[in-house]
Amino acid sequence: MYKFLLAFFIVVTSTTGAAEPSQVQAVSSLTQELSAKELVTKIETQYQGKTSHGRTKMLIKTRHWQRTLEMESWSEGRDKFLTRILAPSKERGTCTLKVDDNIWNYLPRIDRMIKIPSSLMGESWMGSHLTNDDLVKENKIDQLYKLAIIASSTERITIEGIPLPQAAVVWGKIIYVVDPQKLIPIYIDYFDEEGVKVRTINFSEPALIDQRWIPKVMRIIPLEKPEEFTEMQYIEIEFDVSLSDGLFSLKSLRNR
Amino acid sequence: MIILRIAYRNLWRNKRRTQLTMIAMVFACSLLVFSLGYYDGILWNLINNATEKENGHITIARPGYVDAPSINSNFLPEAFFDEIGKEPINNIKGYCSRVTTFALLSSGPESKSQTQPSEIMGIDPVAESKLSKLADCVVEGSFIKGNEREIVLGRGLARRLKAKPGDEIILVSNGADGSIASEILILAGIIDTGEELRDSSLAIMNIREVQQLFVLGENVHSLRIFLEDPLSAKEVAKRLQKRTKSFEVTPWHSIFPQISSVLGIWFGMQLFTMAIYYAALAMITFNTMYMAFLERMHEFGVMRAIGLSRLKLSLLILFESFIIAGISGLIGITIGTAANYLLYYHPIDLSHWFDNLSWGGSFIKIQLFCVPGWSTTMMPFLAILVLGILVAAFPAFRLLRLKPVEALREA
Amino acid sequence: MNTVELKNTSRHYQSGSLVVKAVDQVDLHLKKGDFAVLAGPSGSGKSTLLNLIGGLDRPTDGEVYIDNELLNDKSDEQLSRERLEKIGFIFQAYNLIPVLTAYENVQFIMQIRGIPEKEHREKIMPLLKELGLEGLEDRKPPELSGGQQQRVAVARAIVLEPAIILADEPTANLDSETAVNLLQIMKQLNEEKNVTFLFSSHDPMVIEIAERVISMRDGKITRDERK
Ligand SMILES: Nc1ncnc2c1ncn2[C@@H]1O[C@H](COP(=O)(O)OP(=O)(O)OP(=O)(O)O)[C@@H](O)[C@H]1O
Ligand SMILES: [Mg+2]
Repeated sequence: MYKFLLAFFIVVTSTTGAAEPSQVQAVSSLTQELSAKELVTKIETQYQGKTSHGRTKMLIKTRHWQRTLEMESWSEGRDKFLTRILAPSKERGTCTLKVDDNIWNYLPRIDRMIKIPSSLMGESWMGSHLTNDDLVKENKIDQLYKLAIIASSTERITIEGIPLPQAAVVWGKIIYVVDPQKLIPIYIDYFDEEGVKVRTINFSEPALIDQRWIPKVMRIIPLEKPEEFTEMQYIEIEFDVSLSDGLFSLKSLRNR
Repeated sequence: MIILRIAYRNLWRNKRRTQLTMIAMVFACSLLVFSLGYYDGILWNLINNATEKENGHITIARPGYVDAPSINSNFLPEAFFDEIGKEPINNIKGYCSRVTTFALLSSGPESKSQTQPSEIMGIDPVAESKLSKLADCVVEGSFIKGNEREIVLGRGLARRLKAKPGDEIILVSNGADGSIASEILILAGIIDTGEELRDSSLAIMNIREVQQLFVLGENVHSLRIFLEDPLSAKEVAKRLQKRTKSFEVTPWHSIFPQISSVLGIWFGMQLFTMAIYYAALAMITFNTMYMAFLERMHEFGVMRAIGLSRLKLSLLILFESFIIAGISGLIGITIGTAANYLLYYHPIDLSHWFDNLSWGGSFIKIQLFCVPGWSTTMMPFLAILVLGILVAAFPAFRLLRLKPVEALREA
Repeated sequence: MNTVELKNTSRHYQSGSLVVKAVDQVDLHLKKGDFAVLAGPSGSGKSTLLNLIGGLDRPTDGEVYIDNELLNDKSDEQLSRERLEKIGFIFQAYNLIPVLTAYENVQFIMQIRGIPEKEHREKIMPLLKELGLEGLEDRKPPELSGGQQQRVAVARAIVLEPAIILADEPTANLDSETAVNLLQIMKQLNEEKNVTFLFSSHDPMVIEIAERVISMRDGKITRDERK
């Protein structure tokens, strides 16, 4: 779950604030000549604001229950990310901090912090269909996969990603479909080691914000339970805000 | 019937021989009942060491739960009892309610805390103390006593968390409604179930607290039935299952297939033992019976001469043998069963002299423990009756073809 | 009417190449009420003849009739029945079932005959009294003297009022006084109840009492005289 969340934040942050219109044009015209890796890197890095601050809604639907969380989050570059639950009130104040490959959770009810050990990175984040691993790895597609364009048109380019040998990735393959005009992802399919499609992330409702297209909604569908999903939608977001010193530290988790 | 009376009286004719025959029969029969009871005792030990520790003899859960546990496959115990009717079987010792879920546990100072995934088992400490042997597995500290926020950890899990009794254990998970569950618990004790793999993830809490923490209300994930006779689990489960579709009733056999597979061999072993005991007995008794038979030829001739039919004469010898076998059998099973009852209620511990044996995830306690049982009593009894008839079959056959004139000539 | 009728009856034994003619072409008629003795030396065929008449043995040749019924054709089971209903047997010794009392030994035959239990006592007790066995009815054979045992055997043989009582040397194991005593009792029964008796003996004192003496030698009847 975390992975998607982070990816979503990154996508949101980068599209909304980071780039100038002229750059967008330039990138668009360049896509045909770019390699797959360059294209993905382009998409991902251009979404990087220096910093961001926003509010998101996360809807989790499972066979047994459905719930909506509202969260406030901050990011700095690719590697620092903090989110805090605003609603429901029972969980208000629950925080997740990611710095590099480490994730901590803060639980206000018991006033305790827990570092997620590497062995538990595959566990669900906040009961959603994202894992802790997703938070850490989602924004590094260009670094973890060997990418190749396998189909392309003016509307969409299909990129296949095979994990690099040294990358500790749980997937066997991904199919990354992007819109070269708007420079946004359309969907990503995840395949397991046997080549069976196990998960899809759909990006939808593209909106032009600060002259950049960003998908406002991201839906994660685990294919073994197709009736379930986690959907994230941003409510508001601002970029290149000044963030207080030590925001991405354990101390700030508790003080917030 | 006169034949029966003669048969019965004949037993006391040569008292010593009858007594010797009967002593042999009583000895073999009682020893056999005892041996079969002892076999069952070993089997019970084997089964109960595996089942009574934690699993119970029968698991009641929502369909599919046993194979794929999910926090959402829960139910109100009342729902089950409403459907089945309470106390449907008289050999039930009791029920344990269980809740099982997963959580992250961590311990130690925040800066270098250890975090481990674990299986949280919510138990009712009162019911468990009566039925399961979980509390006996505590190797350090104490079991759940019903105090607030207690947790008991498997030995391996405690080691990984570097936690000692009295330490704080942090629990984080998601409740049945998806909400975040978190709690600070106090490590009450450390448990060693004998299964290393399980001990490296098992954590036990009071079921009330687990239900609250994981938003389960009064619901449970399973009911564990504990029986007096573990061997009856399959029938009981079948009977229960017939009465319900909304629950799955699983006997221990499918949870401990290795132990279940012994059952067939066991019965075979019992039959084999019976065959050996009785083969030896048949050889002894046949001899004495046949000697007695030969000595009475003249008498048989007289009976035939005065008009007794050969069929009735054959019956006479069959009855004699049958009565000896029957009386000996009754005495034998009485002695054997008495011994079994004695050792059932007062087993003798032999572990000072022998090491315990480990088998199939369970271990066999070396003790003199017997289980009196209907079949282990009746089988030897019925078999000795059959033996009585078989031993007399040859003499009886000879009587059918007896020539009175020849018989009479024997002095 | 003949109670017993033998027509040219033989019983030969084949032992190796030798043929032993235990009974050889015997013709014999016994009438109701006869009190006859088979006299003859040892090996003359007395026992064999009695067994043939009693249906315990089958003749190798000739015919045996009891109450005008041919025994030759009957099966073993039918012969059993015949013995039970028409013949009383008394042997030399060990006639009784050792585990039953005197009373029960007599009763035994009534039971296998299927006579209702309530009739037993009224029939057995007077009979035992008549035979001088009063007060001994609950004794078992080992607790009775040889003569008493033989008298119980007589009681058992007679209780169902058979057509004939066959006695193979009934007195051989008794001293002569007791022997004569037993014979007199039998004679008395013969006279009072008109029971037919055929017994074997080589005791002259016993032979003396008989009304008809049938002498045998080498399987043949050599003399048959009535007194
Ligand atoms: N089963 C047999 N096989 C061969 N020979 C036999 C058999 N039974 C009897 N005999 C012979 O038949 C003859 C008649 O025997 P049986 O017993 O009838 O004589 P018996 O007159 O009764 O003599 P005893 O006064 O000694 O009793 C004897 O020579 C005897 O050896
Ligand atoms: Mg003779």
